[in-house]
Amino acid sequence: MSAAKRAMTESQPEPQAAARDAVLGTGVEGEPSAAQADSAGPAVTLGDTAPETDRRAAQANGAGPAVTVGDVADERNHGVDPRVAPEADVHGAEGDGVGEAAVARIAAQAAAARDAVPAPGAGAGVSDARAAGGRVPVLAADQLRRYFPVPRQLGKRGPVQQVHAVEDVSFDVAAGEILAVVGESGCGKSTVARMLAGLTEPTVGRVLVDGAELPARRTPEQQRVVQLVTQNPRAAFNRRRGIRHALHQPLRVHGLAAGAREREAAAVETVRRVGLSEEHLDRMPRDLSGGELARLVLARALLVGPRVLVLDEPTASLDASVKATVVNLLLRLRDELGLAIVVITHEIDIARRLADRAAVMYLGRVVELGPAAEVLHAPRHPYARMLLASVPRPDPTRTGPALAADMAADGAGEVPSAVTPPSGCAFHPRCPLATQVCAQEVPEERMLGGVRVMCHHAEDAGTETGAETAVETAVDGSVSGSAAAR
Amino acid sequence: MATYILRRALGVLVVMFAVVSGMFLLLHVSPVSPVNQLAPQIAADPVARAAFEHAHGLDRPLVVQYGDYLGGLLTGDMGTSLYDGSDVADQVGRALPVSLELGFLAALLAGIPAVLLGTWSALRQGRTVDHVTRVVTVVAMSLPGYWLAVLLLVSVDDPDYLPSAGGFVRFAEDPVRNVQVLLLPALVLGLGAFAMVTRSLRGGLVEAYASDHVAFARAMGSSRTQVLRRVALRGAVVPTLTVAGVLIGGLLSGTVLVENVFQIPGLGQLMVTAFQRQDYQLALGGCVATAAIFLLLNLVVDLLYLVVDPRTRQGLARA
Amino acid sequence: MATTLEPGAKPGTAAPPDTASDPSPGTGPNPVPRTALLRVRELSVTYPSARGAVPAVRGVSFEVRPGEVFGLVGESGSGKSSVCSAILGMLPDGARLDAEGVEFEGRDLARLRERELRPIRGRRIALVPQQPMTSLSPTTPIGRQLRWYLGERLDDPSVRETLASIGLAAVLDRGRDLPGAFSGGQLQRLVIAIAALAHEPALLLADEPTTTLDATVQAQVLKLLLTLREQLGLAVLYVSHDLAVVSQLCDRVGVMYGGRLVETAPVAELFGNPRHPYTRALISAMPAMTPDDRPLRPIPGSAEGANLLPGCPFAPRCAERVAACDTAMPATVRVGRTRVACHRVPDEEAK
Repeated sequence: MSAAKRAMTESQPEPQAAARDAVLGTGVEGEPSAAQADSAGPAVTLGDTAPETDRRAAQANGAGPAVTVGDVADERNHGVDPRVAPEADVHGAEGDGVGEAAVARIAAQAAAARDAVPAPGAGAGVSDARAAGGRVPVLAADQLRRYFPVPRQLGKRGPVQQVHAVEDVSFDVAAGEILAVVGESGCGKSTVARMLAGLTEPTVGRVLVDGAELPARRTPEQQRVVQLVTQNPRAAFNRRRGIRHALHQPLRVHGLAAGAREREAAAVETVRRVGLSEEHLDRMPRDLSGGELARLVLARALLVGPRVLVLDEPTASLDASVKATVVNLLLRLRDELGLAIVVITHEIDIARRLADRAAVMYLGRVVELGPAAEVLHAPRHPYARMLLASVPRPDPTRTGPALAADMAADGAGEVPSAVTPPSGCAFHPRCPLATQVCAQEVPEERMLGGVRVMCHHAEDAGTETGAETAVETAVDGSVSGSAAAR
Repeated sequence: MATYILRRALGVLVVMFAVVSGMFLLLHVSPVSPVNQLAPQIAADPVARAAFEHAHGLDRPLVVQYGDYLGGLLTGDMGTSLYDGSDVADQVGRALPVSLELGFLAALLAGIPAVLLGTWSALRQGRTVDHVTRVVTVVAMSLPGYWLAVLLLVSVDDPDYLPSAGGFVRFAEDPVRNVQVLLLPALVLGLGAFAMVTRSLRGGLVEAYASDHVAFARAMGSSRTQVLRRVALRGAVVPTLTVAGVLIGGLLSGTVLVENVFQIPGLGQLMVTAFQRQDYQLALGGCVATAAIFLLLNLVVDLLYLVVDPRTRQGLARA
Repeated sequence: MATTLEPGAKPGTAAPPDTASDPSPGTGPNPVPRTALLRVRELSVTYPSARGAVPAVRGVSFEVRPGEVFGLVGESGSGKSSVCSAILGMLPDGARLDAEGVEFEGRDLARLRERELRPIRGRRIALVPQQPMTSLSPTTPIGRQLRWYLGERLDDPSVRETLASIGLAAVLDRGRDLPGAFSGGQLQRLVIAIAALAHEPALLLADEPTTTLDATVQAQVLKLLLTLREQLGLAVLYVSHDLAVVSQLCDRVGVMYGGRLVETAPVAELFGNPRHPYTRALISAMPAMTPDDRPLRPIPGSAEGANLLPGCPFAPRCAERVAACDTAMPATVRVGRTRVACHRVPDEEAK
C-alpha cells in the first residue's frame, strides 16, 4: 500500500489533539481510543497483539500484580516515572476483576512481543490495531523544549542569551508508522532527534514510550528501545574493523546473545533482513558502497530490538540511484517489524515516499502536523507551502513559475535568528498572509480535518489571495509537470 | 575589547601573586638555610648566627616576613642578598636586560629564517626545498642544546665571538662587540624555535592553500602573492602563534643553560648562582622576574590572536 | 525584480572572437547562437594513486554556447567536478589533463600555462564554488573582501544597486562583520554576485552551488543565476547531482557516468525521451517520477569502479546489456538532437 493511501485511510476518525492529550494523561473522560489506554501505563506493546477486550486486562497487569511475573520492561516503566504510576494505578483498579492466570498469560505475551528480535507477527498485530480503529502511539514527544546558551560577544554585558533550538514540540508515532519531520537547517529537527534518542537532555518536556517517560539518561534497556541512526553511514563504522565486528558489538555490549554462535546467527539474520547477504559480514567498510553501508547502519540499529527508529537524514549522503533502495527498505521494515519510525529529513520528495504522517518544523516549532497525504501534498501553513513550492521538480517544460523565492525585499528571504525569534508567529516577517495579529500573538494549534496547524489564518488559507497565487501555481505545476514527464 | 584586555591584565596580577606566594613559601619551609653556606666559623657560632639572622630579619615569624616581602615588592624592593648583602632588585635589574636581549636576538635569528623557509617550502610543497626543509628542521629539533653549545665552545676559536670567562661586553659599552658575543648563544637558544616555527608555518600554509577560500581567490584570478598576502598567510599565522606561545617558555628556560655555558651574566646565570649559594632572597627575585616576563609575553601572544584572527574575539569571551 | 542592468545587455568584451570554430556538423536548429563559447573535445583527467593512475574523466566532449545554461549531471565519482577544475586549470597537483582541445574564446585552455590562465580566471570564466560558508576568508571582514574582488566597481552605484536588488543590502551595510556572521544563502548570493559582477565574465562555472543550501534558499540562488544570465548574457556550466534542479535551470544537459559523458540532450528531450539506459534508470529512480502506488526502482549495484571499465561504464548495472557492452566503449552517435553513447541505441533507431 502506498504511503499516501495508508495515511489517508487511517487518519480521519481520530483527532490528533485528543491522542496527544491522552498521552499526557489529560484525555477526556470516557475517551475510548486505544491511545488513551496506552498512555495510562506500560501496557502499550500489548496493543500490538491483544484485541480491545484483552487490553483492559493488560492494564491491570501493567499496574499491579503482573510486575511479579518478571517483565523487566514493566518494572522499568514503573520505576522511572512517578507521574505516570498513579495514573496507571487508577486504571489498574478498573481492571481488578481479571483473573490472575489471564494476567500472567498476557504479561508473558507482552514480554515475548517486546523482546523478540525482530518481533514476529508484530506487523500483523499492527493491522489488527488499525482494524480496531485507532493508532497505537509508541513514542511521544511531550512539549519538548531545548535552549542552548549563546557565547557572549567580547566585552558585551547583559544576560546570557539563549538559542531557542526547540520550542514546545509535541507529536507521537505509532507502531508500524513513519513520521517524517521536515524543515530547513536550524529549524531544530536534529535536536529533536537527539532528544528522542536520549543524547540531548530536554530543557523542558518529556519523551514518552508507551506513555512512560524515558529519561535523557537511560539504562541499557531503555537505550535499546529508541535507536538513532545518524546521517553519514561511512563515519558510523570503524575503518579498521570488519562489518562482522560492527554487528557483533552491540549484541556483546548489551549482552543480548549467549555466545559467539548466537551473535553470528543474529547478525546473519539481520543482514538478510536489510537485503544484504552474510558475505557482507566479511567485508571492510571501505569495500562497501554508500548504499550498502546505509543498510548496514540500519541493521546494526535493528540488532538490539528497538521499538522506535529515529533516522537523521537517512538518504542525504546517498547518490540518487541508491536513495530508492533505502526508502524501499524502510517501508518494508515498517511493515515487517511494526516499527515506529521517525525520519528527520530536508528532502521533501523522500519524505513524501516514506511518511504516513509528517511534521513541518520552523524555528523550533512544529507548524503543521498530520497525515503525510495532506501535509506534504496540500499543506495549510504558509511556511509549509513555501517550503514545498521551493522544492525543484523534474519538470523540463517549466510551465509554472518554478522558483518561488523571496529575495527581492531585503532580508525577507532570511530565516530569522533563533536567539531573538520574531514576536508572535515566528514566520510572520516572511509570510504573505501575515496580519497584525501574527506579529503579536503566537498562534494556537488548531485542528483542520486531521491536521494540526499553527497559524492564525489557517482557516482562510484555502482561499486564494494575491500573494499566494504564485505558491499555489507552483505546487500545482509539480503535479501536472511530473504527469507530463511520464 | 578594552575590558577584555583589562581583565586579562588583572588575571596576570593574580597569577603573579600566586607565584610569589608559592615560591616564597617553598623557599622558606625548605630545610636548608643560607646560614649553612656562610663561613664555617660564623655558622658554628650561635651568636654570630643569630646576629646574621636578625640582620636579615630571618628570626621574625614567616607571616611577617611574607608581608614584608610583598610590601617591598610593590615598591620595587626585593630585599637584599643573603650572600653578600647586595640589593636584589639591583642585581635583577642588571641581569634582566642581558637575558631579554639574548632572547630577543634568539627570536630574531629563529623567526626570520623560519618565516622565509616555511613560506618557501609551503609554496614548493613536495619539491626539493620542501624535503630539505623537513630534514633540516628535524635535525634542528633533535639536537640537544647543551651538546651544540659544547661543540661550539670547543670548535670556535675566535675571541670576538667566544670571549674567555668574564669577557662579556654590555650593549651600552660596545653594541657591536655585544652582539658578537651574544650571537652564538642566541643561535643555540633559537635553533629549536626556528625548527618549530618553520614547520608550523609550513603546515598552516599548506592547509590554508587547500582551503576553499584560497581556491575561490585563485578562481577569481588572484595572483600568487595576492593569495598569499590576503588569505593564506593570515590563516597560517594562527597555529604559528600558538606554537610561539609555547616556545616562550622554552626560550626562558633555555637561557638558564645557555647563559651558564657561555658565561653570560643574565637572569639564568644569576638564578643558578643564587640557588647554589642557597641565597633564596636573590633566587626569589630571579624567579619573580622570570615569571613576570613569561606572563607578560603570553598576554601579548593572546592579544595578538585578537588582531590576527578576529573570530577569537567571540571565542575568548567565553573563557 | 528591479535592477539597473538592462535585460539582455551583454558586456562588449563578451563577443566571441572570430577564431571560434563552428559547431560540429549535424547540430540541429537551436535558438542560441551556433558558435560555441566553450568547446571541450576529448577531455581526460587522470589522478595519481598508490595503485597507479586512476582515470576520472575519459574522453568527454561537449560545448557551451553563449548565454546558455548547460548542466552536467552525475553521481559522486562520475567526474563532473573534475571537468570543472580542468577547464579552469585548477586540477590538484599531480593530476594529468589530456584533451584534443578546451577551446574558449579562440584559445586552447588545455595548452595554457598557469600565468596565461590567470587573466582568464575571474575575468572571462568565473567559478561559483560548492561551499559558500568557507569560500570567503573567515578572518577578514566582508567589506574588505568585496573590495579585493570588486575593486572600484564596489563604488559604482549601479553595482551597489544590483547587490541590493538581490537582497544583499544588509551585507553591504555590515561590511565590518566577518563572513561567519552571515547565512549560507547570503554568502552564496554574495559569492555569485562577486563572480558575475567583478569582471562580467562570459562563462560561469557553478560546481554544485546549492548542494549545501536549504530548499527555499536554493530556490533563491537558482533564480539569481537565471536573473544574471538574463541581465549579463553570461553562459553557465552548471554541475549538479540533482536532476530536478537541472530540469528547472538548464537549456541542455550532459549526463556523466564513470568518467564518460553518456548522453547530451536539450533538457526537454532528455526528460521526455531519454536514450541512454542510465539516464532512463536515473530518471525513474527519482521519487517524484514514480507514481505513489508503485515502489521506487533503485538502480541495482553501485557506481564504484565504473571509471576503470574498458567497455560501457554502466554495463554491469544495465538491464539492456549486450556482449559488446563489456568490451568496447560505444561510440557517441547523434539521434535527433541527442548525442548518446550506447551500443543499443543504433539498433533501436534502426527499428
